Amino acid sequence: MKYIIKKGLLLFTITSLFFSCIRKKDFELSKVKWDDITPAWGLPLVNSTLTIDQALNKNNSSLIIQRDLDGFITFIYLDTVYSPNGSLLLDKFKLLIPTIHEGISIGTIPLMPPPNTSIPNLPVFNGTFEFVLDSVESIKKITFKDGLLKIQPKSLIKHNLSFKLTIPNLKNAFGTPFSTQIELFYKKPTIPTLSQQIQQKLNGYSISPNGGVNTVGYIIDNLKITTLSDAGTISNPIASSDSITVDISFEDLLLKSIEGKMAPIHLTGIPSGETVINAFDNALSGNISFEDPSINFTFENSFGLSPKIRIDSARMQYAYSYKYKDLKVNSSLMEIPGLTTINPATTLGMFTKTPTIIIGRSTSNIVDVLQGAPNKFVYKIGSIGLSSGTNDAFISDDSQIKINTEVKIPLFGAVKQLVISDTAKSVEMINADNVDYIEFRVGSDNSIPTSVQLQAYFCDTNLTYFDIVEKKKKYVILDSLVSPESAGIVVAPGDIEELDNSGNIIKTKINSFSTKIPVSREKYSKISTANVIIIKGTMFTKESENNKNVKFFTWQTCTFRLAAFAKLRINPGSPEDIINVK
Amino acid sequence: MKRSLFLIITLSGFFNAQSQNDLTLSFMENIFQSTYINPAAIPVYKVSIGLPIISSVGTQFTNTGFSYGDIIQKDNRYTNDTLRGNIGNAYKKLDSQNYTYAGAETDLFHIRVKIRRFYFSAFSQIKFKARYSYPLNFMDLVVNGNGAEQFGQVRDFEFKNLGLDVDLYRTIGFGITKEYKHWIFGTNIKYIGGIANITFDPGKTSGVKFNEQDYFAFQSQSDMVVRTSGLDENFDFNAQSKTFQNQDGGVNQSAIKDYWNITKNPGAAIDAAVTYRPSDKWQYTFSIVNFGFINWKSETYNRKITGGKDFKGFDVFGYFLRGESKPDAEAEKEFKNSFSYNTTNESYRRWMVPQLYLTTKYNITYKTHIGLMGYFEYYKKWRPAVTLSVYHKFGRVLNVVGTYSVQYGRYDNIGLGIMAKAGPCQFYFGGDNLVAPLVRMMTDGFEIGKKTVDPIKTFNVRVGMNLVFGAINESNKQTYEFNK
Repeated sequence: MKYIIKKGLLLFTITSLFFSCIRKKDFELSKVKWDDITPAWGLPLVNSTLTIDQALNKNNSSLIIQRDLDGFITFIYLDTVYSPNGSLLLDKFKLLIPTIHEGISIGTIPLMPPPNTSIPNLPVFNGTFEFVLDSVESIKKITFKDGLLKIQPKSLIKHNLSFKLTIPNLKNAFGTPFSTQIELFYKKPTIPTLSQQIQQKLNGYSISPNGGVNTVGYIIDNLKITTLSDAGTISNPIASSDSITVDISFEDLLLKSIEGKMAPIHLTGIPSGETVINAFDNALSGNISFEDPSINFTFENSFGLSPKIRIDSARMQYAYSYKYKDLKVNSSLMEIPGLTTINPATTLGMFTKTPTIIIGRSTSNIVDVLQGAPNKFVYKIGSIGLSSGTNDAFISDDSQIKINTEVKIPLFGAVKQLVISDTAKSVEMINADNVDYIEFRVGSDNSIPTSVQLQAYFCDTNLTYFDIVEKKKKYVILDSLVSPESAGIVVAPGDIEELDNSGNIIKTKINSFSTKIPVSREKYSKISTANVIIIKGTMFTKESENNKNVKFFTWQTCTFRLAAFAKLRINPGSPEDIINVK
Repeated sequence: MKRSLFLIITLSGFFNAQSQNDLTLSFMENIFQSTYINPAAIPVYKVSIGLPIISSVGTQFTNTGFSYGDIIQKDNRYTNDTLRGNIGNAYKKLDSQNYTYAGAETDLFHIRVKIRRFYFSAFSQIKFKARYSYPLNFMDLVVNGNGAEQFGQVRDFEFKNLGLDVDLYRTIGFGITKEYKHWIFGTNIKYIGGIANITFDPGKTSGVKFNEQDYFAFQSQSDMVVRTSGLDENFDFNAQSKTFQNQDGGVNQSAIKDYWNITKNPGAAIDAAVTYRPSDKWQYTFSIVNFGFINWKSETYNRKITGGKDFKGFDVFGYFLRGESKPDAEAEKEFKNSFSYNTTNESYRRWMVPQLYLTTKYNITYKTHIGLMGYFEYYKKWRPAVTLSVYHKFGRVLNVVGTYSVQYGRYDNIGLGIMAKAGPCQFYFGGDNLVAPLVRMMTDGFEIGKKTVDPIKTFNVRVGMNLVFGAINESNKQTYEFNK
């Protein structure tokens, strides 16, 4: 029995192994039809906490965000326009001063032989020379920025001599008249005797005409002659025909300033003023109003003349439409279009400020022009007229007129509609076959008193058309996130906490909001080919319907969250695998 | 690519398996290979010689999570030949922590001789082991995504229990066993020459936590490192199936550098066992094997991803309303830059996974004994097994051992070991759950088909032929002299 069991077991084992083989079709994994798996994935897409203060925290040289103690916000957009400076005007004045060639004859003088050399103090010689300054009615003073005074003395007297040359009307920056000592040393073979040429740079020097007449005087005094002997004999006694000559010339003159009475001057070529208002960047359209906006003009002038500035036009431009609206101003101080008179400078080299002219809603149509959400304030100056009238005036080479503008927008107003947009390109959507269902989860905690209606449009770069109205290529919209296309997800504004007597909202508190936006498989099939998503946000204040305003404060925040939740359908097998039941 | 990745992750749960434990082998003391499990095993022949490959070839596949039948099913909706891949069903079978292993090993040679009451041996093996450990929630992320059923749920996916270790190495060992009246002591001391290694260490903090209430905002953290050694620098994990593994599932040597250098990645390990025999009937054995390490030094590349980022969503509207552009790209860039990616070349040490065996035997007759064994292994978590055995010697030729094991939640593991001697040739064949598949195969037309493998979570087999000479008390020295 044991033998039978033993042998039987062995036979059984060997037989089993021998006859066994693998049934390949049960293990052909490459032919397995895999069930879909349907993972549900949620991914955060957007989480933006937008504090107004943080969002606006972009102070720069052209924008000041003014925060009141209670956090109330005012945008102040700055710009400064400079007129051409005075050097352009001074270059137009022609200062003509001829070379002066003055000969001085001192008559016959008996001379004693050495060592009894006679050194007489001879009389003072006075002279004048003229200059011409174009276009100036009556000049009082000319200050040089650059130039050269050249003096060349000559002598026919056969003796050494010295004298001092003074030009009393030519003064340096400290008011000291120009004066120079001249020495002429006689050398027998050389007649006339020449001294080395004297040169004086005229930077900072000024000349003042004599008594309003365009002449400048000069004085030669302390003229001394030292007799010379020749083998013990006085030679060459001074004859009446002997003389000394001084050649005076001015070269390469540049004027620093002129003072006096001047004929009217016109400044042209003034650049346009341009104040960029970037609060409404990306705006597609806008209908907003502000309670008390203003544009402040501040003029500064360093011309010693009284300018009249002609502002031909001032307009608000709207980038989204390339349209504009003119600002009209009519006040006692300023007109647009029209003339504005500003104060002359009182001190050479210093600016004098004309008190700020405030253009508000009572003197202009500023509320109206701001309504369209502008992105630029532009004004054009036709000319600036400068005149001294009956008073003395001055022009310096750095004289200039500065026009400072401040576009002040206190954020207290109403937004009926402010549409902003941005485009996300190179978007990759999940294959529609792999998506059963998508929903977007939207939430916000908002204390900003503005509702935001958000909409997304799905487009394909291969599907475009030409908009003949706007004259540009546009994407065909495959579908929108929320139907219809004009609708959108509305993020609720902050709840009202306090109203003023007029019903305006002056304080808000947080309003939390959440919603789900389902996207069916059918809808997703339509948009799954999109590679461009245009996001459009429409902001509005509900109270604007009743012409009520709302106040914006730095502490108001909006936290916006967006997540996508998708039920996917993925088959781990080969592409030809069929989609199984859920 | 996504599909491929998914397939790899999913199917790796089946095609990898647990460290070869050879529960049945420990009761096959007649053959030399049992000393790999129990160095204190007393042989019945004075000399045993193993020839390359033919003396032992063993392989094991284990997946603790699900069986072949759990994922590959016949589907009535199609023709009878159609196989359906039912990932959802396989996912349901997963435990909180799952473990898969694939391994193969073969003897290069061995020799054992008995000198007095000592047994001296020398042996060499080559082994391939791949371990992959994955927690349920990681597969949950793959299969179900992070979208929680209940709103407001926080889902925390820790990666610390993920693990991947692939080792290819050779061993050269020397063993000694000493037998006393009541005690037997045995040990194998092994030099290990590492050939190639891939290790994925998820670190302690890696993971991602999603908060649905916070619009799926997630916190991500990584201190992961992927280490390789012995592999070409340009070895590409993404192209692994093409360049690293050939069609037969073996190792493509073109990816392995300096294959024959046994000293490039040195290591050492020790096996130790002690047997206590208080009486003729009872025998208690404690054995620990594979306690050692390999220092991976050659061609080492440590690819580290460290850093972390909390992500709640892009701040697009902030940028948008401020009139700035390209926020997405900047945010993406910022997200990527939150992690640092660098590769270093320092050597590293990997400890092997030791295995513990606690065995009790009761000798009914000198030809028949029964046994009870507890098996323990720790890789990410403790994985025990319990085995009952019955051994019987049929005449002088045939020895048979039958085992029943409870392992990985399966209760149908009926093992079989057969040892037959013909002249100096000692044939053997054994495995831990051969019987049930064998029966299923026979009832399925003597073919290995789906029915054969469907319930299998672990399967191992070892087969070979040793040359043995000189019986030791052949008539009654089966395991212990009974009632002498």
